[in-house]
Amino acid sequence: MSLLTITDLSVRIGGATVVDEVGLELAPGERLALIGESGSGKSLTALAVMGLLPDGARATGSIRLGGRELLGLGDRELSRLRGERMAMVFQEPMSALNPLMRIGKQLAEPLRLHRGLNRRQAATAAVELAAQVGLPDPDLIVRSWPHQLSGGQRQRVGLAMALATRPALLIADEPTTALDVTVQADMLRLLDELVHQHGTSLLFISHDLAVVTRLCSRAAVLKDGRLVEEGATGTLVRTPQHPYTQRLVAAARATGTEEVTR
Amino acid sequence: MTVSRALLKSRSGSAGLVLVGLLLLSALVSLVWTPYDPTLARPRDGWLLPFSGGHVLGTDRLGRDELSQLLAGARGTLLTALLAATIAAVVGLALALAAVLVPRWIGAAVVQLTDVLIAFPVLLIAMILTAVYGGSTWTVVTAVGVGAGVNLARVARAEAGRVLNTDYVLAAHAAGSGTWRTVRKHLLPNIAPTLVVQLSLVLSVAVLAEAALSFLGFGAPAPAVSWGRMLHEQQQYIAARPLLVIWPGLAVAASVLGFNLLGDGLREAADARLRIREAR
Ligand SMILES: Nc1ncnc2c1ncn2[C@@H]1O[C@H](COP(=O)(O)OP(=O)(O)OP(=O)(O)O)[C@@H](O)[C@H]1O
Ligand SMILES: [Mg+2]
Repeated sequence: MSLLTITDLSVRIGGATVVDEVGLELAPGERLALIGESGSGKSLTALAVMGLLPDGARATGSIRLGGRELLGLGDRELSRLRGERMAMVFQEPMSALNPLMRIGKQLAEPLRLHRGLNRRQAATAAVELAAQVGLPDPDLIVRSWPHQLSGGQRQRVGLAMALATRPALLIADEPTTALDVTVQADMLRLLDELVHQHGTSLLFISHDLAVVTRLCSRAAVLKDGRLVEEGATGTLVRTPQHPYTQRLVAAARATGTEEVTR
Repeated sequence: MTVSRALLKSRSGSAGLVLVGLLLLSALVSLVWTPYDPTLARPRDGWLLPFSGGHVLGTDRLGRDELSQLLAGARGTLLTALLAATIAAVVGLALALAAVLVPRWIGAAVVQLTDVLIAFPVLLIAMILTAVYGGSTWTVVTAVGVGAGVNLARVARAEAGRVLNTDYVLAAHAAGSGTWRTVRKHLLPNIAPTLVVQLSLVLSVAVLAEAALSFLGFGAPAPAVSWGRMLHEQQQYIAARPLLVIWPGLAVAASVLGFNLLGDGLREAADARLRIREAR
C-alpha cells in the first residue's frame, strides 16, 4: 500500500489554477522526484500536502497519507501530523531559521512539540541531532545563532529538524539550489544516507536532472501545473516521451556538456 | 548586553539615556524627598528669587517652591507616560494580532477600525473624555494610550505581516507549531525590536500630550503637580519672572527630546543587530 496518494489535486489562487488535477503516488521508503521549470507548481503541490498553502489558495481533490485524507482536516489535526508523520526542508537555508533563536532550540523544537521533551532532554537531543547531520562541534553549535552558520550548515540544521521525529514522509523543496556546488554534493550525500537509514519516503523537488537521476528512482514532470510525464528516472531521462521533457533533458545535456568542455 | 552596548555607542542613544535617566532620577527622588512640600502655598514667601530664603530656584506667586514642583512634576510626567505606553502596547499589539491572525474579513474590519481611529487626534480624544469624565491622570493616560495604541497597531501589523510571511514561520508550521506557539516563539521576539523603538516614541508623545492637556486645563486637577499646569499658571507673569516658565518648559522639552533620542538610539542598535543576523 502506498504511503502518499494524491489524486486529482488542483490548487486555485484567485481565478488562476496553478496546480491542475495532479495525481502522484509514493510507496513507503520510495523516492519520487518532482521536476519542472520555475512556476510550474512544484512548491504549491508540496505545500498542499503539508496543508500550508498561502492565504487565498484553495486545494481540491484528495491527498491521503497512510490512508488518511488530509484535505479538509482541521488545523489542529494537521499540526499534529506536521513534523511528526511528514516534514519539509526548504530551499532557502538563510531565511528558514528564526534569526533570534539559538540553533539548539530550533533543532529540538519538533521533539518538544511531538515527543513532549522537557528543556533539558531537548538540549541533549539537539546535540545528538547536530552530530547526526555532521555539524562540527555539536556542543558549541547548538548554542550559536543562525547568522553564525554557513549556508550549508544551516541547511543541515533544517534537515536535522525535519528528520528529528523520524517522519514517514520527507518533502525536500530544492534543498540544494541555494548552496555552493561543492556543498551541494555533501548535502545530497547526507540526505541520501539519512533517508536510506530511516526508511523515509522522499518527495524531492528539483529542476536539476543530474541530481534527480542520482537520488530518485522515479520522477514526475510538471508543466504549468499539469503532470505531463511520469516514470522511472532512468527511462525518463534516456527516452523522454513528452516534448517538454525532451526539452528539459536536452537543456540539461547542453549545460552538462558545457560544464565538461569548459 | 549587546543592545545596551550599541545604545551607548550611538550618540543619540547615550544622550537619550542621560535625559531619560535624569527624568527617572528626579521622579524617584521626589518619591522620598523634595526640598519643600510642592503643593504647600505660603503667600508670604511668594515671588522669592532663586537662592533666597532657602529656595534654590525661587518660589511662585503662592510661595510654592519651584524645584519641589519640578521634581514632583517629573513623577506625574513619568507615571503618565509609562501608563500610556503600557495601554498603547496592549491596544497596539491586540489590534495588530487581530488583524493578521483572524479570518480575513474580520481582520479587514479591524484594520479599518484602526485606520478610522488613527484619524482622531489624541488631544481631541482627551478633551472629549475630559468633558465627559472630568480631568484626571486616567483620562490623559487613556486618551494618549489609545491614541498612540492605534498608531502603534499600524506599525506592528505591518511588521507582524512581514514576520508571518518569512520562511522560518513557514518552517515552524511545517514542524507542527500551532498558531499561538508561533506567535510566542517566533512572531513576538521578532517584532519586539520595532515595538520597543515605537514605544519610546509613544513615551515622548505622552509627555508632550500630558503637558499640553494640563496646560489647557484638561489634565489632572490639583493637588497633582504637573509641568503643564506650572506653565499655565506662570505664563501670565512671564515678563516679570521668565525663569518660572522656562524651567518647566525646559523639563518638558528635555523629556520629550530624551525619549525621542532614546528611540533613535534603539533603532540604530536594532538595525545594527538585524544587519548582522539577517546578513545575506
Ligand atoms: N502566494 C501566491 N499567490 C499567488 N500566486 C502564487 C503564490 N505562490 C505561487 N503562486 C503562483 O503559482 C505558480 C506556481 O508556483 P510554485 O511556487 O509552485 O512554482 P515552483 O514550481 O515551485 O517554481 P520554482 O521552481 O521557482 O520554485 C506560479 O505561477 C506562481 O506565480
Ligand atoms: Mg518552488
